[in-house]
Amino acid sequence: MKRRAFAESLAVAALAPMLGVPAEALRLDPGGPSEARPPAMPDGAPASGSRALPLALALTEIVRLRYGSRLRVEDLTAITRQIEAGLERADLVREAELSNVAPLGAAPQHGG
Amino acid sequence: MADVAFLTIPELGRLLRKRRVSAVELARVSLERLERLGPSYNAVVRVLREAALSEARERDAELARGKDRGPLHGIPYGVKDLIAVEGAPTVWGAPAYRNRLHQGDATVVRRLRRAGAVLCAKLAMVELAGGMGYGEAFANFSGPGRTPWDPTRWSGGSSSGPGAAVAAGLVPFAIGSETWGSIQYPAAFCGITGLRPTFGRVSRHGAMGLSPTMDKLGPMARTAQDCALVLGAIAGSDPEDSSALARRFIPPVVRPSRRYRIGVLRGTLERTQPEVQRNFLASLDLLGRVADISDDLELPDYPYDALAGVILDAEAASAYEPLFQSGRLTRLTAPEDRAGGYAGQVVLAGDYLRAMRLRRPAAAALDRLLSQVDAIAAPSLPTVAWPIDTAFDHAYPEFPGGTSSAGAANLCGAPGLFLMNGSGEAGLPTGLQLTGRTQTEATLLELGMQFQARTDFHRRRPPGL
Repeated sequence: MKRRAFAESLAVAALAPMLGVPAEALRLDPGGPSEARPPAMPDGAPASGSRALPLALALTEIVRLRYGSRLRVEDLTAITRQIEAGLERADLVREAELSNVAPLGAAPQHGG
Repeated sequence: MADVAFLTIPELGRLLRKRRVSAVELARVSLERLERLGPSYNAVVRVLREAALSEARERDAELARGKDRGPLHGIPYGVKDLIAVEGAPTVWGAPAYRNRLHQGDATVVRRLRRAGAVLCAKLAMVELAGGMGYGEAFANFSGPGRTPWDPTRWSGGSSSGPGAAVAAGLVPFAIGSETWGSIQYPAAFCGITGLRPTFGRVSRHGAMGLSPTMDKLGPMARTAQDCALVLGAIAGSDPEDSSALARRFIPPVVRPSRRYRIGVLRGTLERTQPEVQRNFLASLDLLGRVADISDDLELPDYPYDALAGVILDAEAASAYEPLFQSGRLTRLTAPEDRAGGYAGQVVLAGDYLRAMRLRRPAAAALDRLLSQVDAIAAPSLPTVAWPIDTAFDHAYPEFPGGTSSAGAANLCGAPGLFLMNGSGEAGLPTGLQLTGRTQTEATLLELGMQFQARTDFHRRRPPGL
């Protein structure tokens, strides 16, 4: 099992009680997010089955560890959805061609 | 006196200089309307009556002794309540900040004071400028913004108060802000003229930060000429904001002999309301008198909206870190905002940095496209104002809109001008947006003035006003 997949499996195991499902229901494929099977989800839990979902669940666990005392299960569910949407945006960013010679741009250019 | 409430800045200036009205009288008209009508639209957070009358008296005294500060001398205005004003709370639309006082004026307020404008009110806004991902009009401690054209419809956000206040004739102009859509939406839904300046054109010192690389302050007013006059007063470098551009902005004049070039993106009218399409095509016909129009432009192949989304999520999460740490997010008005923003806390650094690196070639590609024309024209929005009691994703889901340059323009710091261009469903305003290269606000405003010289939409008043 790769390190990232291992971390995700730990995170999912911790998150499962918050989402009210057995950890088995959220178990990830050891191949990582790109090979993950759509997990079985309860009503009200993230149910997109997208490739981003396993990583979204892992990142939700970071949020839970940092701020969990203030967050309800339904909050965590909503946060997972938001993270998942963000990861899908990030996927689009990663798919775009980018040369390593481009300088890091901290702000928009003003070419006009 | 009520009729002065809907005059343009040059018209008010002429009345002032002919002594047919005083700055104190203009301030009183605005103050009375802000107090009486502002609550109908949830447009006002705080009326600054005493301070405004005091400023107005000074402006009258100056005019009496021959000191004229320029076109904004004695003109009332309001600011979105994310802009600091000495002595008045700046609440950012969030109850957690209800009593917070900043020291000193924001640069934009200081410059408007220097130009002689009279600050009358802090105006309502969506909580935290929408940075927590709101999905409904009620995301505002002062109540949902209501458009004066139909108070059962949303005024747009996050500059909801400035939009409604200008549309209802409460102030001749206001200062709003846009990170991604926050001048565009209220200008469109309230049927006014709004200018999203080039990133860096206006100092943000003293304004709430949402996304340090995307936030812009800009004028919202009755006409393009009004926006130009306000921008002329507030633009310029500022040692307090390193992103502020040094180049001055000179308000343009209409050049009757100039021929412009306007482009339209392929697919821009797809999935828009029929009235929006009709009014947009009529606007293009009209602009065709002064411009050559090409309708086959293609947005460069970059994931502009995704780039903007990743950057905005990460930067907003960083900007609001104290709110997350303190737990005060739970005091926000909209339930979705109380759980919003956490996703930004876990944006991967690699994703943010990649988005920032891609931003430069994406901006260069957009600039190459924009350099082919003076402006890209599009409907401001695909629909008229949304019902207030409907979640945004349930308002007109059948009309999500076609190809749009709005995300690209906000990502890349390009300016946009928003003008009312007709009436749509239920008599509500529809809008025209013009997007140009960075630092070409003058050209956009010229085009806006050409459009408004040939139409009367900017003269129309909401029902009953």
